[in-house]
Amino acid sequence: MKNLYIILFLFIATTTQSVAQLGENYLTLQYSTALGLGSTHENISKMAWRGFSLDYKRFVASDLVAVGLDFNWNVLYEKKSYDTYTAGTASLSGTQYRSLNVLPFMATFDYFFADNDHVLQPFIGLGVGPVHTIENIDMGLYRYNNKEWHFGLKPQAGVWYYLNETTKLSLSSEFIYAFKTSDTAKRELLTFNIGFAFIPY
Amino acid sequence: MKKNHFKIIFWFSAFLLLCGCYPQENGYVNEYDLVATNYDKEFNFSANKTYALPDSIVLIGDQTLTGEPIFVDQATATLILNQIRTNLNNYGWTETDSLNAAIVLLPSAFKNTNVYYYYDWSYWGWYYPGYYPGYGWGYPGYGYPYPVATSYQTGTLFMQMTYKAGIEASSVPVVWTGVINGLLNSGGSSSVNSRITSTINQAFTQSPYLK
Repeated sequence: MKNLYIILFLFIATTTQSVAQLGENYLTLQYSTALGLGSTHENISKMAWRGFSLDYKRFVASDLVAVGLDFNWNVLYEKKSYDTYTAGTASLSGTQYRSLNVLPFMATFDYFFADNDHVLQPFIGLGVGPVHTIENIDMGLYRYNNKEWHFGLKPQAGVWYYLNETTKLSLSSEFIYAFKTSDTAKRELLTFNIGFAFIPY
Repeated sequence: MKKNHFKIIFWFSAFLLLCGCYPQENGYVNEYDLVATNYDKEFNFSANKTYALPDSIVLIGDQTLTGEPIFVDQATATLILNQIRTNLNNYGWTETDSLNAAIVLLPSAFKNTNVYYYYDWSYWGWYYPGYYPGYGWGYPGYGYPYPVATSYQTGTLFMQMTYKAGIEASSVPVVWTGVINGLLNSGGSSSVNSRITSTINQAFTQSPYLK
């Protein structure tokens, strides 16, 4: 563990000859995978390999603080094997195809632990905003469809790796929490993302 | 350097767009079969285990209300009735005539044709003079594309257990219902027969209170 800390420290301490980030705008485009947690996982337990995120950050106040806007799209999907579902005296048997689209639109605040002079820039952040969910359950020739807007939070952590003055490799993970509504249960997702952060001009 | 990073971003964006599609999986025809059952929880099935079955199965349609009923073809009806009979007998029920039976089980069936309207410009666009991708098709009087139609047929089998002693002036109590729904025009008749058999079995398997 000690060695790991030393390696991380050396990476973060490694500097580049970059310009300051203050006032800079970054777009981050990432491939995103996701895993449902809690009741979301009970509904669809498979890892979701379909997804992406688009994120805009502007460094304000200092080279370490960024605010921005973030959009994600993750599609959870699972084919359930033939089963019987019972509610009260009624039972229904069939094969279910379940899908859940989760689309958060969030305002974000990120704090970076190292500035643009460093090869590695770890960061943590929080997103707040609406989350749109689209749930489909196909059974037999019928479809149950539920579209809902939730209020959501998204704590996140990640790291940028220096590629050149305007481009970074971005790795991040987010916990998307969409609060329950009067009609729909809460949704919880853990995402793992990889992509590029770049100055778009 | 910037040129390079835009190239990377372009191809990465294209990859992400492909990732964003809705999942779709084509299943086997039996994966579209549904079996639903419901029952009256106040009813004592174990004390009323004699039943009667008709010889034919009514096919519900417009003419059912206006004229003579029509029936499911006799071979299919016999298959359905025998399968119901086998399951009830396995649960310890005894078949008798309709006058002496506690339960009269009434099967009926319903067929429905669903029509999809589907249109793809690429069918004609390769030939049509002056066609460019993205052009619409003006059909006189409609203002939207003339559709190509395709259809599928679904079938539903209802099995209703009626309790004779509970009949009142205006109602017949239904103490158990089994509903089976699926595609009809996919696969041969042996495939359809096999699915009828297995779904009727499932209706009884998920109704253990009938034992």
